[in-house]
Amino acid sequence: MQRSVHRAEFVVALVGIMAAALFLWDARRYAASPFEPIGSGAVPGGVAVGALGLGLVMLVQAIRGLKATSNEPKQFELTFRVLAIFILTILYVAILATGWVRYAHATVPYAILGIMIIAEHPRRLIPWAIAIAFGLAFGLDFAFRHIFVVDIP
Amino acid sequence: MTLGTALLMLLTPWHLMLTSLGVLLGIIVGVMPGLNGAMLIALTLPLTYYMQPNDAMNLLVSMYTGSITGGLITATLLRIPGTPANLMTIFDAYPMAMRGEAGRALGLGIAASTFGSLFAWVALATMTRPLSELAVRFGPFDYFALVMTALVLIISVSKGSMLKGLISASLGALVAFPGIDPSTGQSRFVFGWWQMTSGLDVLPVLIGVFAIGTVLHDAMTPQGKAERITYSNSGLFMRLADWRAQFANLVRSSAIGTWIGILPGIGANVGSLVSYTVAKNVSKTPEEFGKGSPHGIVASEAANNATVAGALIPLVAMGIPGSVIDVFLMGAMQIHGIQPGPLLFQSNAGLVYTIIGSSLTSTVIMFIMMMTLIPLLRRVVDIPRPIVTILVLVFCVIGVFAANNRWFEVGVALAFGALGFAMERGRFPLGPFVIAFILTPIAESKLRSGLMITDGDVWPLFMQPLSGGLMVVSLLLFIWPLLRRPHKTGPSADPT
Repeated sequence: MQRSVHRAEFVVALVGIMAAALFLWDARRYAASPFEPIGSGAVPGGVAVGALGLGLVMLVQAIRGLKATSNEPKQFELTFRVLAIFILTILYVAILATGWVRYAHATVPYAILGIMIIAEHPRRLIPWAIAIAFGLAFGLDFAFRHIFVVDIP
Repeated sequence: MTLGTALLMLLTPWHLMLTSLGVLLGIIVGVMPGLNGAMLIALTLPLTYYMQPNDAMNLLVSMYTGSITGGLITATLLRIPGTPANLMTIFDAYPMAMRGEAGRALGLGIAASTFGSLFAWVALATMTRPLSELAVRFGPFDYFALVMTALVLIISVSKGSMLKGLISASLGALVAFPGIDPSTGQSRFVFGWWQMTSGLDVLPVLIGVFAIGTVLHDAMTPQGKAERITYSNSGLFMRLADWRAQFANLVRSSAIGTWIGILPGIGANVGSLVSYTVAKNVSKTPEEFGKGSPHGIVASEAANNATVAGALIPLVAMGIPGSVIDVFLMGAMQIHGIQPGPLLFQSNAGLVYTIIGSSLTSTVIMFIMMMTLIPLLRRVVDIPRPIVTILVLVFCVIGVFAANNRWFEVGVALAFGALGFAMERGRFPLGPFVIAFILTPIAESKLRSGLMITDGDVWPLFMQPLSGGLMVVSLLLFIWPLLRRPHKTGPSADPT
């Protein structure tokens, strides 16, 4: 199995363990009441115990897998692309959330940049990217504001 | 409203337009590798906020029908399964197309898909009401046991290792807990976030995991070039001799697909796999399977389409999703304040009949579209992937925001997108996550209601005939894969 798969297993296991620990810690606050035998924390607490155990087993398996495999070629470039597009999306959302820039105006550069980041041969896609960016920005803006009558930034 | 009046309503121009739009979009995402019906329906959910419930369900059911069928085109002409449900079709449709019979391969697939859908529709129309009347008599423990069976079933048949399925389900369950406890009215597990007081909304979680996560994962997968086949319409209409030769196979495969659809939590992928295996085992010429056998195409396509209407049966009758896509349909109903379940026939009969009727009208429109639009549809696969990725991401962001005008929910969608991406990358099945997310609140509330009735005594859960039987079935389903693969432990257990 690829090293990147074990890396992802490690991340998911860690997220599971942390979430389970958080729920388990919070579950202690919800005691049972006289009319309700088990209380609000019992079922989530039980699930959290299970998730904690499963997460630990997965973590051990992932570490063993990571030790047994080495990095694959091209994986770094692909991971970088996905990370870059994800960070770009977070920036796009953050800019929209400030309310300083309208949806259509933020979407044009986001879409063009995003397509350029993911594309294997970005130059070939430039005309497509510009057309799609404007269509997506002003088309969806029109659809949401005038057809669905929804407030968008 | 009755089924007849629902069908008349669905034949009005507005509903025919919705059905056609849904089927067309479904077929297009089915054709495009990496996209699937669940993602399309997740992206459409925000728009359904602004639609009448009947219109929304008509559109979504049509998308569901179209998405399962669309993958047939790329499976046959490009050897790429548009959706995982079309994987088995490749083994015979592509070799048949290579022999110069692409039209016949597609014709067999379309006819089998239509037959499978119609067969399952008859089951949907006739079985749903009696089943819901039976389900009304279920006690809280019976319901809890049924939900547990559904959860264990989806975990045990998920791709990858069972450990990953269990982790996926437990994460989905944990995410479902924050918010107001329905039994006590107490706020719980909000960790100081007032935005989470009413819990995590269905929409951002589902869109995050299924749309953002999947599209990011797809962007990371290198895109191979497929070998293209010259296509002609010759043989697109299934010949009478083929109908005669395939009739038994059609009926058997449709019945298998319908039954697998009814089983909670599992859908088209398993349906086509089981049906293909059975068809090969009973065939007089099993050696022809994998080399362009018409029996293989028919078995796979009849079964995967039959699972669509089959999976709607437990959703409508009991409020238990028959497949992952049904989770999204359930989410669409919840958006409109409608709780699917046995009482749906009493509280919202119109909606039930609209769902049943849409399943039929979308099948007919799917048949017409597939027969007429193949030359155009096969070109959809040429759309560059980066464009699709950005299109989906923009739609996710703006769709989630438009639903409630809350940036917090967009943040939730992005966070779950990251989790979904890591899960896809680590080969964790996403089905158990979304099914557990939707079903855990039901399971918890039924368990606690049952315990309140029995004054905290858990014994009746195992001693009452139905709940006890279902708990035994759950236990067997849980143990069976472990017994079947006792040597598969450690990192090497997961299929690569």
